[in-house]
Amino acid sequence: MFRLAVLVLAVFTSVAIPAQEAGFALGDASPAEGHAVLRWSKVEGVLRYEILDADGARMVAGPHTSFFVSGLRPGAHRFRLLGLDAAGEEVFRSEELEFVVTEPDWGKGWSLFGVGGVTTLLIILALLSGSRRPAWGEVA
Amino acid sequence: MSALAPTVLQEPGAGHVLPWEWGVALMLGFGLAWIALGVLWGRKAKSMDDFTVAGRNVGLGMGTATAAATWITSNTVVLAPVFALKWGIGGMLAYSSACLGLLFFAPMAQRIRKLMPRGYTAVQFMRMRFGKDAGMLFLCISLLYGFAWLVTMAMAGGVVLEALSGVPYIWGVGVVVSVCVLYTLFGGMYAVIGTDSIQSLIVLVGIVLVAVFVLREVPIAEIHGTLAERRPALLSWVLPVTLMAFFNNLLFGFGEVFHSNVWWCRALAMRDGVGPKAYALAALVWLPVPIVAGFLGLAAPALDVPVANPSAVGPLVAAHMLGTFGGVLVFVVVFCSIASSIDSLLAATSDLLIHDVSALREKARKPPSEAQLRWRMRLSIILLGLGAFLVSAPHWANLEEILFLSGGLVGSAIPPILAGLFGKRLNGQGAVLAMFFGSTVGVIVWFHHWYLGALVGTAVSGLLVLLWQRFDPSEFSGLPDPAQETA
Repeated sequence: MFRLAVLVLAVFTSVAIPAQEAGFALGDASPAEGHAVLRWSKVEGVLRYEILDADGARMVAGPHTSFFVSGLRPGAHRFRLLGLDAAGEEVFRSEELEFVVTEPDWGKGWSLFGVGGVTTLLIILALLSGSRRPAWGEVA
Repeated sequence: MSALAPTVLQEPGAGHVLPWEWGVALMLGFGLAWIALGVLWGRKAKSMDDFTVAGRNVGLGMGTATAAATWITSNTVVLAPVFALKWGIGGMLAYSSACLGLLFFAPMAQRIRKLMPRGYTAVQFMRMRFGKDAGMLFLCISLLYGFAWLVTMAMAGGVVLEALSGVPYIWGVGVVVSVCVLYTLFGGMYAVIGTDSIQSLIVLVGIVLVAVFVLREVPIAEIHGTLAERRPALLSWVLPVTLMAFFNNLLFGFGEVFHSNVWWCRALAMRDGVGPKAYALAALVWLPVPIVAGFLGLAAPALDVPVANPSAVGPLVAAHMLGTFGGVLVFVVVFCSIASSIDSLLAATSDLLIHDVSALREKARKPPSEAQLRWRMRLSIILLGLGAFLVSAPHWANLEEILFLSGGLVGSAIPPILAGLFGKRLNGQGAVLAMFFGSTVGVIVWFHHWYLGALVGTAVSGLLVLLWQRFDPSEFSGLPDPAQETA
């Protein structure tokens, strides 16, 4: 009820509302890989939503209620959600939502790359050397 | 666990490139055409050999087309852009490494044809080479993988058709699965290979057209500049996650192709000497497809395409840039690529059910007649289609995570298969041990990192095969005639 009241208030006054009140939140976030889904709730009277980055640049616009963001470098990234009406007027603007991308684990990456490389090499060698030998048990 | 989280859905009716009616008309038009061709080609299938391995007389052209078409699947058209969107250039390259699976199956195809000139399935080989227990475990792995693949393709059909035209997800899944079930039912392997040749041509021409139009609309330099400014990590060739995913995807591709009856039954259906050339050519035909498709995923952030669901990013970007024409083109490409794989999987998995499940159950009794086998085959195709529809219906997880769940399973089968085809020293106990522990560890790892299951499963199984051959070697004398085993 409180959330509805805040949203209604926001629609009529076009004030900044807390991110969680717009339902603006992170989903399926992978901080080590630098991608996440930004989700929000549908707001009555809003036809188009926009996501702005920390510099205020528009990242995406559309009628959807979620947006997949990827390719972010390690560090804190902030997003803001805007709701626009049929005339393109701003109806509400959320507070900033923060997504912290962590430093990836290079040691683990290279070790598993090594394991994969050795395994693959052994498989290819077994395949190539085996296919050169005559087949056993060939049915006459 | 993130794999069990619901996929983010696009709002119904919002932002679709094609009108709803167009989507329905295209689905019905292509669906009826495939069914008609299935009925037409099905007339050639007079015997069980005709129905299951197309009379063992498939030539180089058809062989290449069916291998390429089956490998160009929802995995390629739908998941390659997802890899690029999530992990950038490195992700796109990691996905493209799957072409090596087909390439290295070429020498295996020749050996399979030599060892089992009258055989039917991969499980049959494992059962005869390593015994009943290994055959049973391998059958479970094959069925689980086959079903996971079937479900992801049905889901991909629903997701993409909904994203492009607003056709409700469940309708898309239902139509794609029903059409494939119907024409596989009528025509068997003849229909599958015949439709594959047309579908591969449509997919390749469609992908080339999409690439040409996209590059004409948006210069690469512009996309590069925008990505460098807004999403710099997507331009990285090497990231820890792509380092891990590269060999995982490569080994997953090896495991998928090396173990799956989809590829074994094609090797057995091709004329002697055709298999190696057909598989090598198909790998080359396939290679550009994930690169072009991956480019679409990479372009999405630079073009401000509102991607609500990463699983639909490739088709959405193409349609976004090319408008209605692009939407139709992508719709047709996706529909053909998914159909060309679902039909193959239905045929190959039903082979397993009638030849291998029945063989284990009825060995002591009177063997079934050819008419009974064909009836069972048709029933199993219907049940598989129905099962895939029911499991796909809730739309309950991300495509890539579901598909890669089977990575540990198929990866663990690679070392025993190679040791069985090319060596004499591995015995049944060693094969069971390698597949069991490889699969178990691979699946456990998947719960922590979905993109590592195949790598770890293969490595564990490979290590066990090497150790077992060293400490408990055996001398295998040769296979019995497969025809006697099944008859």
